Amino acid sequence: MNVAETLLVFALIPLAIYGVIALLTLWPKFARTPRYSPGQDWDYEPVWWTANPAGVGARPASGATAVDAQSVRTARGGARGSW
Amino acid sequence: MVAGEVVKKELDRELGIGEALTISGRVSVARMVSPQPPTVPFSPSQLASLDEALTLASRLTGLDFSVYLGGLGEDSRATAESLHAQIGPRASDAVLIAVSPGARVLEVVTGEESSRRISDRSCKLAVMSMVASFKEGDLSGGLVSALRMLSDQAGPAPKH
Repeated sequence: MNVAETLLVFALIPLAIYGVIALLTLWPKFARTPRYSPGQDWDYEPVWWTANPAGVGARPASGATAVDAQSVRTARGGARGSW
Repeated sequence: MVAGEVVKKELDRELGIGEALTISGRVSVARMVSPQPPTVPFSPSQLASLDEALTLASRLTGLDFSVYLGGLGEDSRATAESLHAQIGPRASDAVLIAVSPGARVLEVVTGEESSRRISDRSCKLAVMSMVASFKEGDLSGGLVSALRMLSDQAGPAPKH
């Protein structure tokens, strides 16, 4: 067994095994979608989700007519919180 | 030139990468698809469960639940109430959950009819549940459980 073969067996092969295991453990971290953690900045565009109209079904039409939406206060109750 | 003769248009520039000159003289361009950055940090399964919770809550109660995620400015209550007013004629039945993760503030706004069905105390309970989840960084889980709690409080839609 000459020097090159010794290096190949005792250095390169263990290093390759370490590399493969490191890749296997780190892969899910790279691949997953970014996750929110409290305190971090929120740089995303604002989104406003409503229920899927096809899943909700027919709704009775409201009697009220569309008035100037900004001037009328529609809020009657609710709650607030912070974390 | 004879009538009906095909006029070949000469290209006055070099063809770039992914471009090809078709027989008709049109330049066909293939562009690289650049992956869009995610608009929200949610996985597809989280988005699906959120959509399901919103739809089920709205269908069971007859109220219009909606979730807003984004900045609410300095006066978060006023911004949330103006968002609620933007819903329009169905704002009376609407329940808006407005969350500002940047400012760590969340608001629940109910309209005239929905405040009759869901008391402020029940809203506070849902808010506390959301705060507990958001503290752990679980935005979608907190929203889903809050939607379930609010729809449980509102009960089934009244039958006339």
